[in-house]
Amino acid sequence: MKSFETIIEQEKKVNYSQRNKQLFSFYTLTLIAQEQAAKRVRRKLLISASVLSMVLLLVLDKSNQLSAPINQFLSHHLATINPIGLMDIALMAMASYAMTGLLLFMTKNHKISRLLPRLK
Amino acid sequence: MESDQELVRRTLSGGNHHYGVLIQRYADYLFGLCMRLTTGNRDLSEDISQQSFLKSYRYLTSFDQKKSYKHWLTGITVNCFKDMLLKEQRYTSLELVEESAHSPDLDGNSEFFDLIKPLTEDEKILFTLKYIYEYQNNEIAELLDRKTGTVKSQISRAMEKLK
Repeated sequence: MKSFETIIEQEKKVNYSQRNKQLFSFYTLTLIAQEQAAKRVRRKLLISASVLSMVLLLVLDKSNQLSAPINQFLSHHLATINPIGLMDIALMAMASYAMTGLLLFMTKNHKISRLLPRLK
Repeated sequence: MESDQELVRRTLSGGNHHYGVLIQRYADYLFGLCMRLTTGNRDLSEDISQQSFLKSYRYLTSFDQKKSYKHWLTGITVNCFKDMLLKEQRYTSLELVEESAHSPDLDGNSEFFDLIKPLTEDEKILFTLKYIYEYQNNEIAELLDRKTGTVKSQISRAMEKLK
């Protein structure tokens, strides 16, 4: 059995080498380039997002001032329209449901397709 | 031949190809260190050395150019090895299932690997740095961010195990 020192001395003499140093170096540099590109994209996205949000804030702020006359006009005219009652809403809903039902019925019985040539 | 410090300085000023020279210069050294730490697992050693170079590049700005790049890189590699161990532990349960299907590609001086087998992973690091790479206790302490006294006692405990 070899002594501790002999094994250590033997191990010191062993030269481990990469299978393909050139390829290893190239691949590592490619990974670094990829990482850098990703970092650049992230930085650009962050800048764009912050600029966009600032612009949006400005636009929203300005739009309040710009839309003031329109808002005034709308609120004035809406106030003059008669308030819509619950009954009107219920009637409109009934009418639209009836219309939808009728159309569905006609589609099922192919009545619409028969109407089509006449429309032509 | 350009010095490591010069190559680091040139890399930092925007020349990635200079880092390629550093990679080529230390590829075998790191690979050897990883082979010893992983007791001859070639694939894992290649992975760890690559991770070390990537990490070294990432933190190159924090490298103190008055110090040795080789020592700094060694510290990074040891940390990468430890990270890999943590990852391996996390996936141990999964690996156990597929253990029979996977056997690592082992290579190198099996006598040395047999010698350090009884040591813990941390002791393997200390032992390898001290006896194969002939680092001083204070240098190891600096690399591993420990006290010199702690390193000294850990190494003597490892030696006790091997006797």
